[in-house]
Amino acid sequence: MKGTLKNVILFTGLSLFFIFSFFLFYIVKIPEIYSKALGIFFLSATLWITNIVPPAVTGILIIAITPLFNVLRPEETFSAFGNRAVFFILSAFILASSILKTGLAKKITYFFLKFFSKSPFYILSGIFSISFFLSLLIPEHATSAILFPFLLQISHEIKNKKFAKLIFLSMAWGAVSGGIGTPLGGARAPFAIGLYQENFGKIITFFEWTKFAFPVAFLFFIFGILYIFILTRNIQEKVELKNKAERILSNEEMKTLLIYAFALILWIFYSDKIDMAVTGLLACFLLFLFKVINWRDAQHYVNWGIILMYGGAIVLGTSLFKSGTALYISENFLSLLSHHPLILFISLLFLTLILTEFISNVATCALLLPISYGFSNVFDPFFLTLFIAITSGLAFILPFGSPPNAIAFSSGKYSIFDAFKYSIPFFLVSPVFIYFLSHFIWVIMGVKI
Amino acid sequence: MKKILIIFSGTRNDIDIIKEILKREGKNVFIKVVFILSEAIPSNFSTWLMYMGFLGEEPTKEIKDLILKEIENNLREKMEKLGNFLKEEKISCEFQFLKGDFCEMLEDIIKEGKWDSVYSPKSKEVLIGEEKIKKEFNVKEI
Repeated sequence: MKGTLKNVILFTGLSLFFIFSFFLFYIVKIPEIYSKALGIFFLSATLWITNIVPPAVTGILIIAITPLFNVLRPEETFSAFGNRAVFFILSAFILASSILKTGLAKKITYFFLKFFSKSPFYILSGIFSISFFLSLLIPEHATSAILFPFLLQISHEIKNKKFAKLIFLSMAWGAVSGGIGTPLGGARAPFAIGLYQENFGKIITFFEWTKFAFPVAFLFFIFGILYIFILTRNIQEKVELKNKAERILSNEEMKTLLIYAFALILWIFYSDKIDMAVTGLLACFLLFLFKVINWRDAQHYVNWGIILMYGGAIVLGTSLFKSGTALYISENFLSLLSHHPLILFISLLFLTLILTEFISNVATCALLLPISYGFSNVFDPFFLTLFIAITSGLAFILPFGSPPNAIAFSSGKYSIFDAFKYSIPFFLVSPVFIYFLSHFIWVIMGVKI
Repeated sequence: MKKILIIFSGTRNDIDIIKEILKREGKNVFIKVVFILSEAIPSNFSTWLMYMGFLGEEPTKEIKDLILKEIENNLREKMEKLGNFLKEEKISCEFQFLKGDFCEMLEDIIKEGKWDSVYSPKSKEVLIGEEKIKKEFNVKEI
């Protein structure tokens, strides 16, 4: 973000924080608790947008400041941090670290990529598909880290510049599309599930989430394949991918595969009986027990600081909803939107899609989901949870908000302009797909709007 | 014969820059081209990945090393192309490839010889101390 714009956002955000937290409730008729909750909201949004401190540090600040301003009691604040979502995210990250460390995904990738050898369409659709399917099972940042070395290697054998650019973009598109399909693809879904449980006391199971989220991901998958077909029509280059990986799985890889399969079976078939965070933690324990990873690996492969960001985000969301602030805003300032559900839906949709391109997609979800809960008299909260969490994952263009885009961009093979040029169709179809699926398919599947 | 020093570090190190320098200085020159592989580029990116919480320490380091290797390959490829171009133009030249801190090396290389002109492409992101050194040694940005 450019310096001047950053300073303007910083100045505006901090001013709003001070006004809402310390003065507004003396000047206008607004309950003090709502004003202070909004002050914290503006402060968090400012810090997450400008990144003047790491997102995890903003999380710490939220946890500290919420009870300090009496928006939530200390025990309410800290219990929100202990939400199952935080532990599910933690387990998903540790599980992904075993896949990164053992090199299991490398072998799987090589095994599948060889079937997509030769023509540009096959290679790009292969990369897109592998990225998509891996991101259904492991966080999208891990998928990108796994595929990145392969893509660099492949790009060295390619002479056509457009083809080389598309190799990295296909990986990012696949990871973003797959990442929305299950709660394992990124932290947004577990965060949203956690916030929903914290505020409405209802549990969304792994299977239930996947049932509604996967069709969205799959629609993007079909679109991606078709789009790659169109893009590669004029590229003539043929490339033979070399299969360097050994075929036989090592002991560690076999153990990882079995433990992952065990967790997946529990998540898919028994998530109504066994909490998904419990399954995740049990799988992590097994990884340590069978010495697939040790504590040092877990420390080095997982970015532990970010857990604090998710904890802080849940506290922020809970404080806005439980204090009644979200409802107060929707009834007093955005009441016009409440009378026009379609306009409200479109406004939330575009706000989420645009914001997520510029800031971390978890931060987008953390800022917009609690505000959207203020409209739970217009839309069902379950619908809002699905809609905002999935939409906030759809950052296809810019490298700022999503790890796959950032890692792909770091290859230096394409510019921001290229990212716009080639990824804009994904951005344009996103509102259409979300509208179609949420208003028709989800409704047929039993979601109340 | 004029002695020209050209220092490349980032991605802007095209033949066009050499052509522009030859237009300014004439063809009766000796050119020394130094490529500095600066670790600052991938380090900035990997620090950002960690800062944002996107990746853990180990995968971030792996990505940083890969990017550094990629930049090195690109620079070596470009060095070869430039060598061929200067050969075709029959210009006497010398090439050097270095790895390390751009600012520290910039000063050392300039002090190594007596140069009539020193050129360096304009960087998109100026490193700390870069501007001062360039000013001190009269490095022309192109």
